[in-house]
Amino acid sequence: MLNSIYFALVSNATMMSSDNPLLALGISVLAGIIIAVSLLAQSRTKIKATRAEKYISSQLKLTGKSDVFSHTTTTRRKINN
Amino acid sequence: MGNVIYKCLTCGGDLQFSAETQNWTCKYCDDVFTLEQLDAAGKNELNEEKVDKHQELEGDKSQYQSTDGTVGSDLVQYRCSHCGAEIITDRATAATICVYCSNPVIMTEQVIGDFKPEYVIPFKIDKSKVMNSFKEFSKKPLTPKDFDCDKVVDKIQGVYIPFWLYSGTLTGSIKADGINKRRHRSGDYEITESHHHNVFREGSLSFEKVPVDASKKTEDAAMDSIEPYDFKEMVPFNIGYLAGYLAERFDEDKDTCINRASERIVNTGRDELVKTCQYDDVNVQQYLHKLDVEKTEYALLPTWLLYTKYKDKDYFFAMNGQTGKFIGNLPIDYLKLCLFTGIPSILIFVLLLFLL
Repeated sequence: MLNSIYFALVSNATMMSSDNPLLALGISVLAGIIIAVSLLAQSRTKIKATRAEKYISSQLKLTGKSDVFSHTTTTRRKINN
Repeated sequence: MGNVIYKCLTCGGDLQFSAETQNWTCKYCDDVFTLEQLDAAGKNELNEEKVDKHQELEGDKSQYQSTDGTVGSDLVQYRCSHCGAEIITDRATAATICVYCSNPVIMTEQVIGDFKPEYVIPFKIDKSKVMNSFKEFSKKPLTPKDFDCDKVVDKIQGVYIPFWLYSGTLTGSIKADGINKRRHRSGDYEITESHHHNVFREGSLSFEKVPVDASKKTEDAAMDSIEPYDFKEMVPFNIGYLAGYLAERFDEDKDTCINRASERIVNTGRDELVKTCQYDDVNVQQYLHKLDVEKTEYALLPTWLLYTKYKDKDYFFAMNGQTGKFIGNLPIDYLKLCLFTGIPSILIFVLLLFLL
């Protein structure tokens, strides 16, 4: 897992082509946070349930369905080379 | 006073329900009895007219401590039918172990009339398996070395917790903005086209036995986390299943607990309606719903509970007594946390400096 995080971060950083040590610091701090959260999640297993999908006794019966096209929006983003 | 002890049909010793054999075993002669044998001997019959009541404690109740370790402040007093000792326990306790003679004691007044459960799932995991499971469970990377599970695990207790089981139908509809996105490149720009649709879905969904714990003392999140129970193994309630375990009766009624079941059902209904929308993004703008609860059942479900302290802080762990699922928040060694996160972070930082 640590390997995959490391490679994802490194490849991301390489793509950015930056030599800023602040970027390296930011990425390593982010990696630390991800590791901490995953470790803490192993020790914290008490979670209040908000869903009841295990207790569905019959599939959803759809009694009404409609899909009407309304409009299109367009956004553009400049690609950095 | 008001409690039942199960006697062996052979030697008159005390019987306990065995999770391993699913029968009743005598502590003294090791004879094993089935439910049918106990029924035939009239052991499971309750004469509701002859049930004695608890006694109120005299004076300042805050001076008393429960003798069976139950957590609660509303204490009452019973007398052990076996040794005659006074048992001080929470008002909602339905079964306990006498701390003086170690015999199982069932407070019959807590399981008759309005308090009589309709169903029970008998324990399937015995204490030795629970202790091993807890040791495995506590082996987490951040658990402090001095958190001695061998010392605390002996305090674990098998407790039947009261649950309301709600069954019914949810009818609902959603109005949403369904968006399909298409991306393409044009020169130096990435163009994203979002096609919006007015989406409407209406439907109904049936739910069966959504459980909500009916005891104020147990943490809702803990009881939610040990789900699911396999309700196919639920059997009609028989007082004999309580022998050898602690048990609580409900102290939150079904009208109070319905809100927690309703919240879960309503959220799931919304999710199921959204799942039928085949779009990249679905933003729900309106959700109307109606829940019809058709049936509410009262059942006792098996749990293993452990209350313990570590460095003056309370910790609570629970295990599903049917499936063996363990949950709880373990203590955290913050030095380990710093090491386990700090070292990889520093390594990543150094490597990035080298690579960039």
